[in-house]
Amino acid sequence: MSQNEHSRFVDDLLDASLAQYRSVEPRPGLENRILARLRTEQAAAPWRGWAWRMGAGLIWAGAILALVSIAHRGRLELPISPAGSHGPAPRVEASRNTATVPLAQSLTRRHKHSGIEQSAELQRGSADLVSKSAAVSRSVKTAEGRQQRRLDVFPSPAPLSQEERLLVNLVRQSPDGAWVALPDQGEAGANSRVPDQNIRPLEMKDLSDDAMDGTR
Amino acid sequence: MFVPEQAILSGAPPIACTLDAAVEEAVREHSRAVYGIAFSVLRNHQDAEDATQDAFVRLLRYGKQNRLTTVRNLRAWLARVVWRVALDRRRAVPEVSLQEVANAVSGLRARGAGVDEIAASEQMKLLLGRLIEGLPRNLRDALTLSVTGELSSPEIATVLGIPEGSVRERLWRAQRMLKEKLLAVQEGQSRR
Repeated sequence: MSQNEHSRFVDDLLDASLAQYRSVEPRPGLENRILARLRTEQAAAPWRGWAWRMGAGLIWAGAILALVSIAHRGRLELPISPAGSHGPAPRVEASRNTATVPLAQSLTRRHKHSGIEQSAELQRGSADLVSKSAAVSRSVKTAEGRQQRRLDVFPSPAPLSQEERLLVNLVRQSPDGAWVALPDQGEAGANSRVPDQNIRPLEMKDLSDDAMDGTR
Repeated sequence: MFVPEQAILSGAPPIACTLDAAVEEAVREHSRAVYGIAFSVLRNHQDAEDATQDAFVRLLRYGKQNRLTTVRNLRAWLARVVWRVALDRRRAVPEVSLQEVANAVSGLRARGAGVDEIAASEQMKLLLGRLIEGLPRNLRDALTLSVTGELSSPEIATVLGIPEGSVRERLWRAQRMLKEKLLAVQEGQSRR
Protein backbone atom coordinates (compact mmCIF):
# COMPACT_ATOMS: atom_id res chain seq x y z
CA MET A 1 0.00 0.00 0.00
CA SER A 2 1.45 3.36 -0.99
CA GLN A 3 2.00 6.22 1.42
CA ASN A 4 -0.93 8.18 0.03
CA GLU A 5 -3.27 5.26 0.27
CA HIS A 6 -2.21 4.60 3.79
CA SER A 7 -2.74 8.24 4.72
CA ARG A 8 -6.18 8.23 3.16
CA PHE A 9 -7.05 5.05 4.98
CA VAL A 10 -6.04 6.60 8.29
CA ASP A 11 -8.09 9.72 7.50
CA ASP A 12 -11.17 7.64 6.76
CA LEU A 13 -10.60 5.47 9.80
CA LEU A 14 -10.26 8.53 12.03
CA ASP A 15 -13.43 10.14 10.71
CA ALA A 16 -15.41 6.93 11.05
CA SER A 17 -14.01 6.25 14.50
CA LEU A 18 -14.89 9.75 15.72
CA ALA A 19 -18.40 9.29 14.34
CA GLN A 20 -18.67 5.99 16.19
CA TYR A 21 -17.15 7.56 19.26
CA ARG A 22 -19.93 10.11 19.49
CA SER A 23 -22.82 7.77 18.75
CA VAL A 24 -23.95 6.83 22.18
CA GLU A 25 -27.50 6.00 23.11
CA PRO A 26 -28.63 6.40 26.69
CA ARG A 27 -30.51 3.59 28.31
CA PRO A 28 -34.26 3.76 27.71
CA GLY A 29 -36.26 5.88 30.15
CA LEU A 30 -33.57 8.50 30.75
CA GLU A 31 -36.07 11.37 30.79
CA ASN A 32 -38.38 9.62 33.25
CA ARG A 33 -35.54 8.85 35.58
CA ILE A 34 -34.37 12.44 35.49
CA LEU A 35 -37.90 13.73 36.14
CA ALA A 36 -38.36 11.30 39.02
CA ARG A 37 -35.11 12.44 40.55
CA LEU A 38 -36.16 16.07 40.19
CA ARG A 39 -39.51 15.40 41.86
CA THR A 40 -37.76 13.64 44.73
CA GLU A 41 -35.41 16.56 44.99
CA GLN A 42 -38.27 19.04 44.98
CA ALA A 43 -40.14 17.11 47.68
CA ALA A 44 -37.06 17.12 49.89
CA ALA A 45 -36.20 20.72 49.18
CA PRO A 46 -38.54 22.42 51.72
CA TRP A 47 -37.11 20.35 54.54
CA ARG A 48 -33.63 21.17 53.44
CA GLY A 49 -34.46 24.86 53.23
CA TRP A 50 -35.88 24.89 56.74
CA ALA A 51 -32.96 22.92 58.08
CA TRP A 52 -30.55 25.40 56.57
CA ARG A 53 -32.46 28.36 57.94
CA MET A 54 -32.73 26.82 61.40
CA GLY A 55 -29.05 26.00 61.44
CA ALA A 56 -28.07 29.45 60.26
CA GLY A 57 -30.37 31.06 62.83
CA LEU A 58 -28.91 28.99 65.64
CA ILE A 59 -25.39 29.87 64.61
CA TRP A 60 -26.27 33.57 64.52
CA ALA A 61 -27.96 33.42 67.89
CA GLY A 62 -24.98 31.61 69.39
CA ALA A 63 -22.56 34.14 67.94
CA ILE A 64 -24.58 37.08 69.27
CA LEU A 65 -24.87 35.49 72.72
CA ALA A 66 -21.14 34.85 72.82
CA LEU A 67 -20.39 38.45 71.82
CA VAL A 68 -22.77 39.85 74.42
CA SER A 69 -21.36 37.66 77.19
CA ILE A 70 -17.78 38.57 76.26
CA ALA A 71 -18.62 42.27 76.24
CA HIS A 72 -20.48 42.01 79.55
CA ARG A 73 -17.63 40.12 81.21
CA GLY A 74 -15.08 42.59 79.92
CA ARG A 75 -17.06 45.49 81.37
CA LEU A 76 -17.24 43.86 84.80
CA GLU A 77 -13.55 43.11 84.94
CA LEU A 78 -12.31 46.61 84.00
CA PRO A 79 -10.91 48.60 86.96
CA ILE A 80 -12.96 51.70 87.67
CA SER A 81 -11.18 54.57 89.34
CA PRO A 82 -13.23 57.50 90.64
CA ALA A 83 -12.71 60.85 89.02
CA GLY A 84 -10.34 63.11 90.91
CA SER A 85 -8.75 60.29 92.90
CA HIS A 86 -5.03 59.61 92.93
CA GLY A 87 -5.46 56.51 90.82
CA PRO A 88 -4.42 56.22 87.20
CA ALA A 89 -5.25 59.30 85.23
CA PRO A 90 -4.65 60.25 81.63
CA ARG A 91 -1.40 61.95 80.92
CA VAL A 92 -1.71 65.58 79.97
CA GLU A 93 -0.12 65.98 76.60
CA ALA A 94 0.91 69.57 77.02
CA SER A 95 2.88 68.76 80.17
CA ARG A 96 5.45 66.82 78.20
CA ASN A 97 7.10 70.12 77.57
CA THR A 98 9.59 70.67 80.37
CA ALA A 99 9.09 74.42 80.15
CA THR A 100 5.91 74.03 82.15
CA VAL A 101 7.85 73.32 85.36
CA PRO A 102 9.14 76.85 85.88
CA LEU A 103 5.78 78.08 84.73
CA ALA A 104 4.08 76.16 87.52
CA GLN A 105 6.54 77.36 90.14
CA SER A 106 6.26 80.89 88.97
CA LEU A 107 2.51 80.81 88.96
CA THR A 108 2.40 79.21 92.41
CA ARG A 109 4.65 81.89 93.88
CA ARG A 110 2.91 84.70 92.16
CA HIS A 111 -0.49 83.47 93.09
CA LYS A 112 0.21 84.70 96.62
CA HIS A 113 0.50 88.25 95.47
CA SER A 114 -2.64 90.07 94.76
CA GLY A 115 -4.22 92.63 92.52
CA ILE A 116 -2.30 94.78 90.14
CA GLU A 117 1.13 93.57 91.18
CA GLN A 118 0.30 90.00 90.24
CA SER A 119 -1.27 91.06 86.98
CA ALA A 120 1.63 93.27 86.09
CA GLU A 121 4.17 90.57 86.78
CA LEU A 122 2.34 88.03 84.79
CA GLN A 123 1.85 90.33 81.87
CA ARG A 124 5.56 91.02 81.85
CA GLY A 125 6.13 87.32 81.31
CA SER A 126 6.86 86.11 77.86
CA ALA A 127 4.12 85.39 75.37
CA ASP A 128 5.41 81.87 75.17
CA LEU A 129 4.84 81.30 78.85
CA VAL A 130 1.35 82.68 78.62
CA SER A 131 0.37 80.56 75.71
CA LYS A 132 1.64 77.51 77.57
CA SER A 133 -0.53 78.42 80.50
CA ALA A 134 -3.58 78.55 78.29
CA ALA A 135 -2.62 75.24 76.75
CA VAL A 136 -2.25 73.72 80.20
CA SER A 137 -5.66 74.99 81.18
CA ARG A 138 -7.20 73.43 78.11
CA SER A 139 -5.30 70.21 78.67
CA VAL A 140 -6.48 69.97 82.23
CA LYS A 141 -10.06 70.37 81.14
CA THR A 142 -9.52 67.78 78.44
CA ALA A 143 -7.84 65.44 80.87
CA GLU A 144 -10.71 65.70 83.29
CA GLY A 145 -13.15 65.06 80.54
CA ARG A 146 -11.14 62.07 79.36
CA GLN A 147 -10.85 60.71 82.86
CA GLN A 148 -14.59 60.72 83.22
CA ARG A 149 -15.33 59.52 79.74
CA ARG A 150 -12.72 56.82 79.33
CA LEU A 151 -12.67 54.94 82.56
CA ASP A 152 -13.10 51.73 80.66
CA VAL A 153 -10.29 52.41 78.19
CA PHE A 154 -7.57 49.80 77.86
CA PRO A 155 -4.64 50.18 78.51
CA SER A 156 -5.15 52.14 81.69
CA PRO A 157 -4.05 55.79 81.40
CA ALA A 158 -0.76 56.76 83.08
CA PRO A 159 -0.88 58.83 86.27
CA LEU A 160 -0.08 62.54 86.18
CA SER A 161 3.46 63.60 86.88
CA GLN A 162 4.41 65.91 89.75
CA GLU A 163 4.44 69.04 87.66
CA GLU A 164 1.22 68.11 85.95
CA ARG A 165 -0.49 67.73 89.29
CA LEU A 166 0.87 71.12 90.37
CA LEU A 167 -0.60 72.70 87.28
CA VAL A 168 -3.92 70.98 87.74
CA ASN A 169 -4.14 72.16 91.35
CA LEU A 170 -3.27 75.68 90.38
CA VAL A 171 -5.85 75.84 87.65
CA ARG A 172 -8.49 74.29 89.87
CA GLN A 173 -7.84 76.67 92.77
CA SER A 174 -7.73 79.86 90.77
CA PRO A 175 -8.67 79.57 87.15
CA ASP A 176 -8.55 83.36 86.86
CA GLY A 177 -4.89 83.31 87.73
CA ALA A 178 -4.22 81.39 84.56
CA TRP A 179 -6.50 83.56 82.47
CA VAL A 180 -4.71 86.66 83.66
CA ALA A 181 -1.63 85.42 81.95
CA LEU A 182 -3.29 85.35 78.59
CA PRO A 183 -1.84 87.68 75.96
CA ASP A 184 -3.68 90.76 74.85
CA GLN A 185 -6.52 89.66 72.66
CA GLY A 186 -7.86 93.07 71.73
CA GLU A 187 -9.95 95.30 73.88
CA ALA A 188 -12.81 92.93 74.34
CA GLY A 189 -10.56 90.11 75.53
CA ALA A 190 -8.63 92.29 77.87
CA ASN A 191 -11.72 93.83 79.40
CA SER A 192 -13.36 90.53 79.96
CA ARG A 193 -10.34 88.77 81.51
CA VAL A 194 -8.49 91.36 83.61
CA PRO A 195 -10.00 91.53 87.10
CA ASP A 196 -11.43 94.78 88.35
CA GLN A 197 -8.91 97.06 89.97
CA ASN A 198 -11.40 98.79 92.28
CA ILE A 199 -10.24 102.19 91.14
CA ARG A 200 -12.64 104.79 92.12
CA PRO A 201 -14.00 106.81 89.31
CA LEU A 202 -12.72 110.29 88.98
CA GLU A 203 -14.84 112.92 90.64
CA MET A 204 -15.18 116.11 88.73
CA LYS A 205 -15.45 119.13 91.02
CA ASP A 206 -15.98 122.72 90.16
CA LEU A 207 -12.94 124.85 90.20
CA SER A 208 -12.80 127.35 93.03
CA ASP A 209 -10.70 130.44 93.41
CA ASP A 210 -10.17 130.03 97.15
CA ALA A 211 -6.64 128.81 96.94
CA MET A 212 -5.66 131.60 94.69
CA ASP A 213 -7.26 134.23 96.78
CA GLY A 214 -4.33 134.51 99.21
CA THR A 215 -1.86 135.08 96.47
CA ARG A 216 -3.63 137.97 95.13
CA MET B 1 -28.96 9.05 44.19
CA PHE B 2 -31.92 7.06 45.48
CA VAL B 3 -35.07 7.50 43.46
CA PRO B 4 -38.21 5.74 44.68
CA GLU B 5 -39.26 3.02 42.29
CA GLN B 6 -42.87 4.10 42.50
CA ALA B 7 -41.90 7.57 41.44
CA ILE B 8 -40.20 6.18 38.35
CA LEU B 9 -42.98 3.80 37.38
CA SER B 10 -45.99 6.01 38.03
CA GLY B 11 -46.70 8.28 35.14
CA ALA B 12 -48.45 11.03 37.05
CA PRO B 13 -46.34 12.97 39.51
CA PRO B 14 -47.50 13.44 43.09
CA ILE B 15 -49.56 16.60 43.54
CA ALA B 16 -47.11 18.13 45.97
CA CYS B 17 -44.21 17.44 43.63
CA THR B 18 -45.37 19.06 40.44
CA LEU B 19 -42.36 20.28 38.59
CA ASP B 20 -41.97 23.62 37.02
CA ALA B 21 -43.07 23.37 33.40
CA ALA B 22 -39.90 25.05 32.19
CA VAL B 23 -37.70 22.50 33.92
CA GLU B 24 -39.75 19.61 32.62
CA GLU B 25 -39.56 20.96 29.10
CA ALA B 26 -35.82 21.40 29.45
CA VAL B 27 -35.48 17.76 30.47
CA ARG B 28 -37.46 16.56 27.48
CA GLU B 29 -35.61 18.80 25.08
CA HIS B 30 -32.00 18.65 26.24
CA SER B 31 -31.53 15.46 28.25
CA ARG B 32 -29.98 13.51 25.37
CA ALA B 33 -27.52 16.26 24.55
CA VAL B 34 -26.59 16.66 28.19
CA TYR B 35 -26.14 12.94 28.50
CA GLY B 36 -23.96 12.86 25.39
CA ILE B 37 -21.63 15.48 26.83
CA ALA B 38 -21.42 13.65 30.14
CA PHE B 39 -20.71 10.38 28.38
CA SER B 40 -18.00 11.94 26.20
CA VAL B 41 -16.11 12.81 29.36
CA LEU B 42 -16.92 9.82 31.55
CA ARG B 43 -17.22 7.02 28.96
CA ASN B 44 -19.52 5.16 31.32
CA HIS B 45 -23.31 4.95 31.13
CA GLN B 46 -24.00 4.95 34.86
CA ASP B 47 -21.67 7.84 35.61
CA ALA B 48 -22.97 9.79 32.63
CA GLU B 49 -26.55 9.37 33.79
CA ASP B 50 -25.72 10.46 37.32
CA ALA B 51 -23.97 13.54 35.96
CA THR B 52 -26.97 14.29 33.75
CA GLN B 53 -29.34 14.08 36.71
CA ASP B 54 -27.06 16.32 38.77
CA ALA B 55 -27.06 18.91 36.01
CA PHE B 56 -30.85 19.03 35.91
CA VAL B 57 -31.06 19.19 39.70
CA ARG B 58 -28.89 22.28 39.50
CA LEU B 59 -31.25 23.68 36.90
CA LEU B 60 -34.16 23.05 39.27
CA ARG B 61 -32.42 24.88 42.12
CA TYR B 62 -31.48 27.71 39.78
CA GLY B 63 -35.13 28.01 38.80
CA LYS B 64 -36.21 28.12 42.44
CA GLN B 65 -33.97 31.12 42.95
CA ASN B 66 -35.83 32.84 40.11
CA ARG B 67 -32.62 33.10 38.16
CA LEU B 68 -33.71 31.04 35.20
CA THR B 69 -34.82 34.13 33.33
CA THR B 70 -31.22 35.32 33.25
CA VAL B 71 -30.17 32.29 31.20
CA ARG B 72 -30.06 33.28 27.55
CA ASN B 73 -29.08 29.95 26.01
CA LEU B 74 -30.37 27.10 28.14
CA ARG B 75 -28.69 24.46 26.04
CA ALA B 76 -25.27 26.08 26.44
CA TRP B 77 -25.93 26.65 30.13
CA LEU B 78 -26.76 22.98 30.66
CA ALA B 79 -23.74 21.93 28.60
CA ARG B 80 -21.50 24.03 30.76
CA VAL B 81 -22.98 22.66 33.97
CA VAL B 82 -22.81 19.02 32.92
CA TRP B 83 -19.28 19.52 31.61
CA ARG B 84 -18.15 20.70 35.03
CA VAL B 85 -20.09 17.99 36.84
CA ALA B 86 -18.59 15.34 34.59
CA LEU B 87 -15.07 16.66 35.06
CA ASP B 88 -15.60 16.52 38.83
CA ARG B 89 -16.83 12.95 38.58
CA ARG B 90 -14.14 11.84 36.20
CA ARG B 91 -12.16 8.94 37.48
CA ALA B 92 -8.79 7.66 36.42
CA VAL B 93 -9.08 6.02 33.03
CA PRO B 94 -8.35 2.29 33.29
CA GLU B 95 -4.98 1.57 31.82
CA VAL B 96 -5.27 -0.09 28.43
CA SER B 97 -2.13 -1.14 26.69
CA LEU B 98 -1.74 0.93 23.56
CA GLN B 99 0.25 -1.86 22.01
CA GLU B 100 -2.49 -4.42 22.57
CA VAL B 101 -5.30 -2.34 21.06
CA ALA B 102 -3.08 -1.34 18.14
CA ASN B 103 -2.33 -5.02 17.53
CA ALA B 104 -6.03 -5.83 17.61
CA VAL B 105 -6.85 -3.07 15.10
CA SER B 106 -4.04 -4.23 12.81
CA GLY B 107 -5.38 -7.77 13.04
CA LEU B 108 -8.81 -6.56 11.91
CA ARG B 109 -7.28 -4.79 8.98
CA ALA B 110 -5.17 -7.79 8.05
CA ARG B 111 -8.28 -9.92 7.93
CA GLY B 112 -9.67 -7.52 5.34
CA ALA B 113 -12.12 -5.62 7.50
CA GLY B 114 -13.36 -2.35 6.08
CA VAL B 115 -13.01 1.09 7.58
CA ASP B 116 -16.53 1.07 9.04
CA GLU B 117 -16.06 -2.35 10.59
CA ILE B 118 -12.78 -1.38 12.17
CA ALA B 119 -14.22 1.93 13.41
CA ALA B 120 -17.18 0.16 15.02
CA SER B 121 -14.99 -2.34 16.81
CA GLU B 122 -14.41 -2.09 20.54
CA GLN B 123 -10.65 -2.19 20.02
CA MET B 124 -10.71 0.87 17.78
CA LYS B 125 -12.83 2.75 20.35
CA LEU B 126 -10.34 1.86 23.02
CA LEU B 127 -7.47 2.93 20.80
CA LEU B 128 -9.13 6.22 19.96
CA GLY B 129 -9.91 6.80 23.62
CA ARG B 130 -6.26 6.32 24.51
CA LEU B 131 -5.12 8.64 21.74
CA ILE B 132 -7.59 11.36 22.77
CA GLU B 133 -6.51 10.95 26.36
CA GLY B 134 -2.94 11.64 25.31
CA LEU B 135 -3.79 15.00 23.71
CA PRO B 136 -2.95 18.28 25.47
CA ARG B 137 -5.72 19.41 27.79
CA ASN B 138 -6.95 22.38 25.74
CA LEU B 139 -7.14 20.32 22.53
CA ARG B 140 -8.73 17.37 24.30
CA ASP B 141 -11.50 19.48 25.85
CA ALA B 142 -12.47 21.05 22.53
CA LEU B 143 -12.42 17.68 20.76
CA THR B 144 -14.38 15.92 23.52
CA LEU B 145 -17.14 18.51 23.34
CA SER B 146 -17.10 18.40 19.56
CA VAL B 147 -17.36 14.63 19.14
CA THR B 148 -20.65 14.58 21.01
CA GLY B 149 -22.11 16.20 17.90
CA GLU B 150 -24.52 18.07 20.12
CA LEU B 151 -22.82 21.41 20.38
CA SER B 152 -21.96 24.00 17.78
CA SER B 153 -18.68 25.89 17.79
CA PRO B 154 -20.20 28.96 19.53
CA GLU B 155 -21.69 26.70 22.20
CA ILE B 156 -18.38 24.94 22.73
CA ALA B 157 -16.78 28.37 23.01
CA THR B 158 -19.35 29.29 25.67
CA VAL B 159 -18.72 26.11 27.63
CA LEU B 160 -14.96 26.50 27.56
CA GLY B 161 -15.00 30.28 27.91
CA ILE B 162 -12.83 30.89 24.86
CA PRO B 163 -13.39 32.68 21.52
CA GLU B 164 -15.09 30.76 18.76
CA GLY B 165 -12.03 31.05 16.52
CA SER B 166 -9.94 29.34 19.15
CA VAL B 167 -12.39 26.43 19.20
CA ARG B 168 -12.01 25.87 15.47
CA GLU B 169 -8.25 26.15 15.64
CA ARG B 170 -8.05 23.70 18.52
CA LEU B 171 -10.30 21.22 16.78
CA TRP B 172 -8.15 21.35 13.66
CA ARG B 173 -4.96 20.88 15.68
CA ALA B 174 -6.49 18.04 17.69
CA GLN B 175 -7.57 16.13 14.59
CA ARG B 176 -4.18 16.61 12.95
CA MET B 177 -2.43 15.37 16.07
CA LEU B 178 -4.75 12.38 16.30
CA LYS B 179 -4.03 11.47 12.71
CA GLU B 180 -0.28 11.70 13.27
CA LYS B 181 -0.56 9.46 16.30
CA LEU B 182 -2.73 6.94 14.48
CA LEU B 183 -0.29 6.91 11.57
CA ALA B 184 2.59 6.33 13.93
CA VAL B 185 0.78 3.43 15.58
CA GLN B 186 -0.10 1.89 12.21
CA GLU B 187 3.46 2.27 10.91
CA GLY B 188 4.83 0.76 14.09
CA GLN B 189 2.62 -2.24 13.61
CA SER B 190 3.48 -2.65 9.91
CA ARG B 191 7.24 -2.55 10.68
CA ARG B 192 6.81 -5.47 13.03
